[in-house]
Amino acid sequence: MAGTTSSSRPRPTAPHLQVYRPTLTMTMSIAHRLTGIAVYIGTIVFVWWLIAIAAGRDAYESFLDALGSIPGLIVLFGLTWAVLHHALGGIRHLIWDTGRAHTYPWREYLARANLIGSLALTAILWAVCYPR
Amino acid sequence: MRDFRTSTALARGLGAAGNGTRDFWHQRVTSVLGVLLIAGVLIVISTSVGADYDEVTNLLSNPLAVIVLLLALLNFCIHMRIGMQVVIEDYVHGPVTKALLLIANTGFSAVIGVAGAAAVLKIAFAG
Amino acid sequence: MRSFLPLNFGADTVSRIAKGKIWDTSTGDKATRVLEVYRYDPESGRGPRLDVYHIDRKSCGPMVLDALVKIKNEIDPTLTFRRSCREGVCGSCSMSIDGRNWLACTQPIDDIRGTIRVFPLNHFLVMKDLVVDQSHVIAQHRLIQPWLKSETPGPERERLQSPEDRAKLDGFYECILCFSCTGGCPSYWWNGERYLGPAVLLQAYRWLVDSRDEAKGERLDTLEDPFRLYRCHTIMNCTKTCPKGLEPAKAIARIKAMLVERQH
Ligand code: HEM
Repeated sequence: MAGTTSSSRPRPTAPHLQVYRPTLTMTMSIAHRLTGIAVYIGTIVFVWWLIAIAAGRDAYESFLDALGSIPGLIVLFGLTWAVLHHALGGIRHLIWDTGRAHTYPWREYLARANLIGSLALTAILWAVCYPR
Repeated sequence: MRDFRTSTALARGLGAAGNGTRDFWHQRVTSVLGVLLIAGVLIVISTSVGADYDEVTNLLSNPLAVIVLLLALLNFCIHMRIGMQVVIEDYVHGPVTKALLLIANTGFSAVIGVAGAAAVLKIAFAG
Repeated sequence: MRSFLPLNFGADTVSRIAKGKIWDTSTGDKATRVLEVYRYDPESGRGPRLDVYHIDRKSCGPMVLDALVKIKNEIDPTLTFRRSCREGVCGSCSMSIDGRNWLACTQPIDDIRGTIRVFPLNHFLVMKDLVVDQSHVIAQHRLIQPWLKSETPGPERERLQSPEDRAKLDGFYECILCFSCTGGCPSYWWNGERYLGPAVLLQAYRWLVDSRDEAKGERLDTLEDPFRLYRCHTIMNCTKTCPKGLEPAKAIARIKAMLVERQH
């Protein structure tokens, strides 16, 4: 650290993310954060839905038109997955917070269950809702 | 500028803030309750799919739906604020930018919560 | 899979790694192993580089440390690294090997497929080659006062502890302070100035659960901080990369639980 070196050239920082072999739990951690941020922004869609209904028939129709378009459906599908992935990831966090399932292979099972569970739930939800 | 601070001075920094646990705990409380509430919200939303306008307003006038939606808005308003604050603290280190983002974060979360709640109340009581 | 990113992604100018020297000692033999080793000489006036070495696996010991010693003895005596016990108890030779942190002396060469890439502990400041500056983590370790604190005058003989209470230290006292976990922690990468990191927090927990210690409240006060403790997001790299099989993430979760406990 500073104050202990006499050399004038600053010391290099050893590479980190650039050389670290991605681990499943690290990837799921990044996914938890990205989906958290996605849902944070996605609350706009949720509140827009409520406001559109509150604003009346026409507003609601245009809301449905916007979300029924191809980009709208993609956003909605992505948000569905993001919410479910983040929620399941949250449960994984809560389990780890109690000190459980830190040991191999349980931590890997939890991370895998997180991904598989969110994809499955998203598929089920859309299979039920989309045809309507 | 050379930095002549000692390792001890750097490690001690400004000392322990004396908090952090409150936010951590509130994040966990809103996570546990959030699992129940997000299930409720998803049920309300998926019930509304394919329904016409009158059916949707009817659905959202149901007291149970109103309670679930209001609680969910409150819960996620708190949860998303703490969550994004942690993200900002992780990556943003400029004091001014950080302060502005933290303020924006609180503002955004509050707007989401209040706007959503106002809409729910209007549909339920003035719809 | 290697990493998400190219080698120099986002690196500042002093940290960019150049292509280094290829020490062409290959005999074309099947038993030849290729090592890419991070080199940095503060006196050269130049930045870090990645040198390539070929070693004959047949005349080399089984561990990565053996390979590094062989390079130093037979190919390039300027290669600099820390090592001492060569049996996983001193913690000197922790480094980034094949994308995770481990002790070079307990990492078998044959467990690694292809080129063996060796870097200094992630995100530490580099003094020379594989030797990193540990003064900040050591100062952070001192901050948590890693010694028994007791005001009650000590008994004539040892301070007693029940076997049950002694067992609570298992899995935590064994830490050899190699800082593999701290080097592997993304939260430490982004906030290492203020975040104490997994190794130091595991040590903090080791003293928090010691039944003989009388300073729990004081210790918790030191940790009650959004940065010192709560930068931990349970990414789990620490637990996975611990060459002693310890679980720093669990120790940190338990510290958080203790802090919650004293508030409610
Ligand atoms: C059932 C629902 C949910 C559960 C169980 C849950 C759980 C969690 C947990 C445990 C964390 C902390 C992660 C950590 O300590 O590193 C977290 C972070 C976060 N949550 Fe949620 N959450 C839920 C829903 C939501 C919703 C609806 C939003 C947005 C409106 C949201 C936004 C965030 C954000 C932005 C973060 C910060 C991300 C990070 O630190 O990596 N969450 N969530």
